[in-house]
Amino acid sequence: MVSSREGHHTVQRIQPSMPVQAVETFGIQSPLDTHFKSVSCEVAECVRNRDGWRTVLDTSTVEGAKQAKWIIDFSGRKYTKVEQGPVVTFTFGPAQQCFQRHKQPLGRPELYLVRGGDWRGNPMGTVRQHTRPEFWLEHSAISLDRLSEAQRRG
Amino acid sequence: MAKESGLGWTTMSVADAAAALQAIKNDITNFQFATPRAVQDITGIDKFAFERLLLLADLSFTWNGVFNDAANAAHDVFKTVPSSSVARAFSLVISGQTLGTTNSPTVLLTDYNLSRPQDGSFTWSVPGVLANGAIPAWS
Repeated sequence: MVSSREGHHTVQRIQPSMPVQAVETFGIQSPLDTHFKSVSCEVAECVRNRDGWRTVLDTSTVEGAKQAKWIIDFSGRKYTKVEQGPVVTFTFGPAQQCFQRHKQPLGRPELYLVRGGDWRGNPMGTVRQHTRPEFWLEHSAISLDRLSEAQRRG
Repeated sequence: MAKESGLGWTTMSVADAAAALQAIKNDITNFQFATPRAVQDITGIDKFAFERLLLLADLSFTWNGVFNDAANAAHDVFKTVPSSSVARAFSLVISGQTLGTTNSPTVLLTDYNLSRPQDGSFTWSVPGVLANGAIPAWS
């Protein structure tokens, strides 16, 4: 297993056998900034909005103290508070917005990409954006058929 | 092929730990799979056994998306990745063609990473590799 970066994420992957120059990646993208909108808890069918939720914070840490202060002074939500030493439990009732920013797709056409390499990089810098999904589909079908044929012969 | 709109991607389903396909396309911002591009250039035409080994190990997948803990949404599907070792089926439909049904490929997911960066988004990333050696085919 190896750790790799995927945007903001560090994920665990199985180490590929082939060099990065020997692979290509078929991708479909709906970027968060351009293809999604923020929606309310009700629209997102949020379980915290439906059932309420608890937020447990350790106010002995800088981050926990900041978050507790924000909930008390600025959140605007209704809650009950229980303190056990430095640990504070906020219990929020249902029918109010949770702290998550829910997203839903706008329904815009996706971006259909084929590029060299994989998550390790694209050393040759090859990127192709297909103008129609069926062109991307055909491109990927040819590649997968070639692999199936090699496997069948092997 | 019939004339179609640019909205080609209609379905993305991934199996949960109970092997039930769940439609999670609305939670996905990015799907990709990496394939060997020129196997014969690497292994030579007389080395098919080694070539097959490479094919199995190097067909990898990545799903990225936004956190959604509604029933049977992305979190329901992927929350069992750390606790189970079940190979997952998937189904991708684009322009009326389906990938993931023919040959019944399965994917071994190796992580479910959640991140909340400065911009306030709450997103996940799930990588995987082909688990059963069945090369996916469009049908």
